[in-house]
Amino acid sequence: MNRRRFLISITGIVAASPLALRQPLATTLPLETVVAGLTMAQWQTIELVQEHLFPAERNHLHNTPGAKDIHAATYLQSVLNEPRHDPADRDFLRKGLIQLQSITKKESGQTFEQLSHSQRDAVLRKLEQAPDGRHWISMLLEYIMEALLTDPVYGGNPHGIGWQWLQHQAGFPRPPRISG
Amino acid sequence: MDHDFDVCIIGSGAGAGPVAYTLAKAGYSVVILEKGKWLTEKDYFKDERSCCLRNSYTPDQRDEPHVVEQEDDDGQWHSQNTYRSGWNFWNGNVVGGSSNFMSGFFHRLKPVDFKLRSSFGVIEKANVVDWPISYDEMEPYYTRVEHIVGVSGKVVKHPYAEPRSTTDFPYPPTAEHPVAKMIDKACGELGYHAIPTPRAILPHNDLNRNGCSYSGYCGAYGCATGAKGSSRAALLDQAVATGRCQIRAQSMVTKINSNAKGKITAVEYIDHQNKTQHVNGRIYVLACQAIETTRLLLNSASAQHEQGLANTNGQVGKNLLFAGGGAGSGRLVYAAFNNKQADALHESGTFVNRALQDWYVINDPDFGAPHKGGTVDFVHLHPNPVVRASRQISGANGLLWGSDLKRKLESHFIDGRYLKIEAFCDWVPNDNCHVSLDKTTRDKWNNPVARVKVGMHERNLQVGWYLASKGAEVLKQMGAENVVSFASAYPPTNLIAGGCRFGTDPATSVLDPDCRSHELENLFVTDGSFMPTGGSVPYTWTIYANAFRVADKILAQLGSKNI
Repeated sequence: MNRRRFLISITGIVAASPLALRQPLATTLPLETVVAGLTMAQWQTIELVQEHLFPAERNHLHNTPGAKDIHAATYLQSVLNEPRHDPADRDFLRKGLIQLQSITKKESGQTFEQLSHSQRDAVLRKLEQAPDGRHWISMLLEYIMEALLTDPVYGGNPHGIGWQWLQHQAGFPRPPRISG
Repeated sequence: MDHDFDVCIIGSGAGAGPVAYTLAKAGYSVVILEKGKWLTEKDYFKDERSCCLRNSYTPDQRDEPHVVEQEDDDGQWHSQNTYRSGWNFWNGNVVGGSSNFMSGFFHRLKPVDFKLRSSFGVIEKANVVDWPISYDEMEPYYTRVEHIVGVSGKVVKHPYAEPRSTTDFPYPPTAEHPVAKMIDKACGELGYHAIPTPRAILPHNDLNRNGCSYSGYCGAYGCATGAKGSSRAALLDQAVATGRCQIRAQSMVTKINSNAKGKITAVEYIDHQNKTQHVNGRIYVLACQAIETTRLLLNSASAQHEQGLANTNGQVGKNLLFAGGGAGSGRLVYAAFNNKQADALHESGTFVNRALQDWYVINDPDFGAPHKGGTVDFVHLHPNPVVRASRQISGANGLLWGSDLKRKLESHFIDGRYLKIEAFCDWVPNDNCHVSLDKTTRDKWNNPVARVKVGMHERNLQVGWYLASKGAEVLKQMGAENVVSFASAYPPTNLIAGGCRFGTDPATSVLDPDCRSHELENLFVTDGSFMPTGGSVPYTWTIYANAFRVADKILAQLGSKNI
């Protein structure tokens, strides 16, 4: 087993384990490491997009959780690793990212990471108009909603932070912690 | 000839439970073959992800798809594999079937439902017929279900109340949400008769089951207390306790074998280790829900039954039924009510339990000649937060994100309570709604999958609009905002019946009035397939009642047994 394959298999296990899901994106992994079909560098961009779509608000009017607070990126990794998950989604997610960076480059000559908040918004609106772009953003938003409001055993919604914000009453009995 | 069992039942849902319960209690040996797992109360949690986002209780559609055929606005028919289509005709492949996941809105059919053709005449381009039995023959079995499965409710007088042999339900209504009183008041002002919706839910411990825990997550969720009268909790557990009923879970029946004398000889199934097995019985009962029951009959063709079992007349799979109707909703904004009322509206866990049947027959000159109408149920919006949140991401001018999305989520979840209406009318049976075998698509066991054509009769829409608008009128009277109502042309895939009509004429029906195959004397069908017309209520109570009725016919056919 070469080092790269070893890393892939390690991260596969890490992403599926409930303990790891409670951590933010594991930035200590090498950027070229592939997790759930995307490199860690690509995951960092996904994390930026998620935070743009679902920003934390900490001001005198609003105190609401953002994508990082609800572990949206690691939650999405675990979703892509579900046995019954459609493997085509990984490719769809990757192609959408490529399209996002290509629009960014064409518009500004920069990368998405280098853009200001308003520039990022403009690029995402541009992507929304492109073929499959709306579907791609919708998919990210839908999994953000899952990370916000599914039971914390799945790795999102830590300590019920999403339920508390939206005053949602969870049912009982709650699902047990998942094993493996 | 020796048999492995007296009765072999394929499927374990609402059509199977009453037969297993009755026969096992009467001393007969019963085997149940169920393709799904045997889950019990301890396996069910209030977990939106497993119940409603990942379809954990239904097959992976990559392995077991259906093919759906539907009509577009131009009248062209298109077919597609249900994998990745948004369609899913599976409804709970576990022991107890989809009755585990029902809401348990239990309405009886009414006498008029048994004679639609003679009451209202012919509808063009429709195949409406009378039933071969009357309400009077079914009534004792509705009553039996009330006591054995456990139905809670309260009988009140209303214009279309059906006759009953007992004065009231054996169980009082489940705890009601304060919004029920608001519905009563609004209906009173409008001159309508709000009735407590009977539920297949125990309000307190009885029948060796726990009462409802009022967690607020009921329909679509498996019950963690046993209060919900699923086939498993209410019937199969007791059948198994006799020591004479064996459940073989994760056993997928692929073929029913028959001989030249018109008898079933054995069934072939794939067990949990993927090995092919056979089992035989004196009587065979098919109860796989309408689509899969038809598919198994058609997949069991033999030299003597070239078109599939019980299908010499080509009627198997024809006149498939869903439930017609409409829906609507409105929002009770807390700020529009005083503090006490707003606090009451915040309550969670209890049930709405209200329905209207004032238009079970529509006698309205504006609608036309008297016509079969239906039922309007009032229900909470499903609590499922992810489903609700995901509906907020589409805005008028594109997707919502950032603070715009956050304000919309806050408004949806925090500012008020949604009340929904669900209108049920007959799904008019027609030539464009049926099940057949797909010629090219096969499941993981290499058997042809069911092809479901979902043609809808325009009458569904007319009645659906009428009923939904009446429900919306009540929501407005209650002071709800954003009231909308509509009829739907799409078949609700959790409400399926028909395909193996019962009738007296072997040329036009699949089953005789006892739900025995006209062609194979030891084959019965006890799921919703037998229904020639569906009535204007959810099907489960009628499937239970009919299966108890057929169980008595099977007892008679087997002869008395002294135990």
